[in-house]
Amino acid sequence: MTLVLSNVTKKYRDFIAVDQIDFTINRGEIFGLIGQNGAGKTTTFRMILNLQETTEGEILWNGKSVNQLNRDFLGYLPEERGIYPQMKVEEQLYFFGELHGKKKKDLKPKIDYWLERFELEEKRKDKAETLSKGNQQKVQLIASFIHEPQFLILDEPFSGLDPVNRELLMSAIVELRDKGVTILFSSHQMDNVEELCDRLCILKRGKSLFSGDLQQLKQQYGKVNLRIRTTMTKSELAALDGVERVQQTNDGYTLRLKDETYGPALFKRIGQGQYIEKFSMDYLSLDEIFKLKVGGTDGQNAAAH
Amino acid sequence: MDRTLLLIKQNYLQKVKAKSFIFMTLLYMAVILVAVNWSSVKDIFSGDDNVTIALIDETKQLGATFPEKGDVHFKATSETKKALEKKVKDGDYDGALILTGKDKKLSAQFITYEAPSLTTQQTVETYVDTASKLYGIQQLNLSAAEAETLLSAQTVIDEVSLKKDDSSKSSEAKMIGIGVSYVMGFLIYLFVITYSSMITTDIASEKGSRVLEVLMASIRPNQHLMGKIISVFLIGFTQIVILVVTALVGLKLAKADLWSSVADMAKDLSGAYIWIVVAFFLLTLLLYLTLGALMGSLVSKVEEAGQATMPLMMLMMAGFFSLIYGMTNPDTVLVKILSFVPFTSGMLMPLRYSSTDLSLSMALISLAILFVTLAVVFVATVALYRRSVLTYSTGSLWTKFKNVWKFTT
Repeated sequence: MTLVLSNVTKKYRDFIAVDQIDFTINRGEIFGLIGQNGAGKTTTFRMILNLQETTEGEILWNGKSVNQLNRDFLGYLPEERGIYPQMKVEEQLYFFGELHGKKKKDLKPKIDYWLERFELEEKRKDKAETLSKGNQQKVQLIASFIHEPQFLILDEPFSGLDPVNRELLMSAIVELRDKGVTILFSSHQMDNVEELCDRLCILKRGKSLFSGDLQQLKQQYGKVNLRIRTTMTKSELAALDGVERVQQTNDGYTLRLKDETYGPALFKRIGQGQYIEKFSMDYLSLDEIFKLKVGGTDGQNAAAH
Repeated sequence: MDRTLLLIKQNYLQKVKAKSFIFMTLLYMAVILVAVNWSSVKDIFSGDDNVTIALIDETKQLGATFPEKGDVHFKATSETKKALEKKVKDGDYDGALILTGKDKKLSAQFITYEAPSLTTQQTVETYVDTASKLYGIQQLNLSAAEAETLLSAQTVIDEVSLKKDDSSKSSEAKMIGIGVSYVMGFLIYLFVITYSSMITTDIASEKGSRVLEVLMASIRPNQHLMGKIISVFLIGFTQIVILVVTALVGLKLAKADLWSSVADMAKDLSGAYIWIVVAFFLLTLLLYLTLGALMGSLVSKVEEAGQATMPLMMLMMAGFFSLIYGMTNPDTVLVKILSFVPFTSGMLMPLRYSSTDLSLSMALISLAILFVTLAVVFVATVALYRRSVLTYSTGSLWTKFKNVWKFTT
């Protein structure tokens, strides 16, 4: 059970929103789609949802074009929250479930389970508009998968959530994944993506800059992040061989190396045979990679690595 | 359950259970009940508003013309003018009427202290008018039978038209037709405005709260459109049924014998007219509901719904004011033209059909134009709807329309 996008392009009269995107999502996988505003994430989602037609290319689910499929196999959480403000939480969930072809009596145990799980039990009979934003988001999320879709699209599921609710949502997403649901989601917050995704696609102005395994992406850049605690000054560090950039943090320094092979030499030079409290070489965070790729000189950087 | 049906059920129940719907329906019911019981209701408010007028009849022949009971009633008296004037001043009488015969003509003097109301003035004038004719006849020394013949002389015009398929309605039937058309026109106006703005607001709010995006993931845009139009139509239908039943029950139970007079009036209306009115009513409502849905799908949030309903309101008002204008003269060119324009024909064609000798075929042509327009508007709306429901843009309706076009083609 996989979703395949091949050469998918969406052209409008005067601009190209999505330009030849290719990626494959495997069954039971969490796939991240990241990019700035206007990168084409929502358009991509809408094409997968068959809300918009593709100009070129095709989108296949299990080998069949998505616009030939009954849509009950997928669930969708849009970027801006969509629930009926006047409807009670419970009614809302029944309504969306039935809309996806489920029967009321089959929905009941699931609604009970998820309301309990998301600590919404006592809000059951409340009108949606009286709920806090975080609670509305949780109701919305339940509504998007209450019909047990095989494939779930979550557009910015974490925006505006406090850390506790974010944790709840994360664990729910993982639980769904473990049940075999394939999940595609987008986020601005890279730490969310890093924590959840196995594979991802980075979009910039409709073009795909990378698509594939997160670890592979990190390995492309190598372990060029060096965090140290030392008595050396910033300018001394910057003068060292192999150091590209030095940034002072409130707990030492973060050095960006030209290459991870400089590591041993730097360890010797900085430590000078003495005990070192902190010397940590690591991969770049997704956030840093994203900034490198999407910010300014991404073209060359991507080519260089 | 079929998804369109589910959507219809959900929207229908939500709207019918809404406080605003219940309140409005109750209000209309109250208006109807007051209207059918108007004579009883009026008595409650104007019970002691009886006007008593003293009558000095110097001719001694006309007393019977002036009633002793009623809203304005007369009391014959033989007091002197002076004494009466004092009593009027003191408020014992609301006025005094003095009739004198002079040169075979009746002259009348109406004395009041407080300025009389218009209705009192008119009533008195009517009675004096009748009395004056009667007096004139009496002066001719006719026999009672002769006088009776003269007074009740009234010619019934037998209208004969040589044109073959002419419906040639009597003027009475035309008057009733105008009245019924006005009532129907007003109902169309009321329902179209209420329900087209309901559908616009409804879709705009679903769009604004992004529920629509979620819905679109499981149903097709045309299912959503159909669901909205049908459910709002059913809500309107529910209200109509409630109001019609209220009116019928009210008429049956009303003190005054309104039922038989309404039944008499209905007899003067042809069966074809009733079907035409119903057809125009339904098609006009559907046309505006479709347009209302389209307008709602163009705006980005519910706050803009008012802006979107404006053009439809204008069309509706143009139709309604033409109807009012056309009531006094249904044969003007403007009314003739507008009775074929699909946006206004629902109000004007029934008026023309009932109040002029228009042939049935003309009404059917207008109905066909309306039907074809509805079909075209519906197809166009379906085509545009799937693009517009997910396009969010700011600016005027026209800019939004252009954006929908630009961003989706």
